[in-house]
Amino acid sequence: MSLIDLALLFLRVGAVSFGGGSSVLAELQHDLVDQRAALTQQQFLTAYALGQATPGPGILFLVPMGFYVAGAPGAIVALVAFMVPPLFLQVIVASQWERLSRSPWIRALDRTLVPISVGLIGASLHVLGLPLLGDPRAIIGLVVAALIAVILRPNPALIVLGGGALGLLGVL
Amino acid sequence: MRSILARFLWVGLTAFGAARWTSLEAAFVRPGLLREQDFIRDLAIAQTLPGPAMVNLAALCGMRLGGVRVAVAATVLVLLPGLVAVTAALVWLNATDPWVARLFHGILVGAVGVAAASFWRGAGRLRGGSAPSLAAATFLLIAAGLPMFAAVLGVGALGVLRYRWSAQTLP
Repeated sequence: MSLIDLALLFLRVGAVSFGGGSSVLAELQHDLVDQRAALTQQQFLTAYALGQATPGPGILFLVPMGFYVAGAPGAIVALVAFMVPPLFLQVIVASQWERLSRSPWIRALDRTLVPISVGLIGASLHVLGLPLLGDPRAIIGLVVAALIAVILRPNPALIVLGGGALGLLGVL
Repeated sequence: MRSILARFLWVGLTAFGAARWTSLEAAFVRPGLLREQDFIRDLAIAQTLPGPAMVNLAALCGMRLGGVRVAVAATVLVLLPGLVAVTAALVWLNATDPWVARLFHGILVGAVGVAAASFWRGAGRLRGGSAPSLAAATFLLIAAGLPMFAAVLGVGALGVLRYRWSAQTLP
């Protein structure tokens, strides 16, 4: 996969990444793993895990994905290409927001984007959860992690890093 | 200015998990560097636009605090600590090593659990008949293999027409 193809892919998904970076995982899996075989399923999941275990925005899984596809240049291209459409849109929208936010069309769009982002996150969850379905211990761990997140609401980093610790101990 | 840039770096270093934008609120609104109403307006823009809300919001905060140059610096600085950590992991950790593989597997299980909780909360907030239908349509179209861009544009157009029409017919 060339750097230009990589840039075009991440520009495209960056432009529709409503609901945050994780909303694009289904599209990336479809393109990079299923269609082009530029990444293995294991590399895809490792990249996501790596991105979630680090501080900062939740989009850093793009960096290992780009790296696995095309080395260090791939990592840079993936991140920069993904960030360009949202940042470009911001410059335009921020300067026009007072006027735009009064438009009934923009209010309708705003209401529409909420369910779309939920659907995108659901699609990403489907992609991430499917490979774990054959592993009963992983399913139990996943359900427990989700319950802890919903009921106790700790800092999600604690759950992610706790999962890592249990993985190291061979519990998961 | 140096202290403002250090605050963005600190946010990048300490923001984990969901609602990462709250770190920006703590760094800039509570000390009085940004007005709350400006921050809330910028949050609305950041969450409406594509991309990670935290990076979008950091850029908008930077724009308010010092123009385009600070906006660019803010974007880089909130990404920097995570980038260093990811790069270090790529260089130093061999993903095929059994110990590393087990570590990543455990992290993945925890992260998917957190994502499931986020989905659960988001789905629970959908009200009325249209919003769950739009969410389900987006999910099903992508799961069926339709490119995300086409799914978002198609469902987005339907949703905009639906909500625009319902606004017109409200008494």
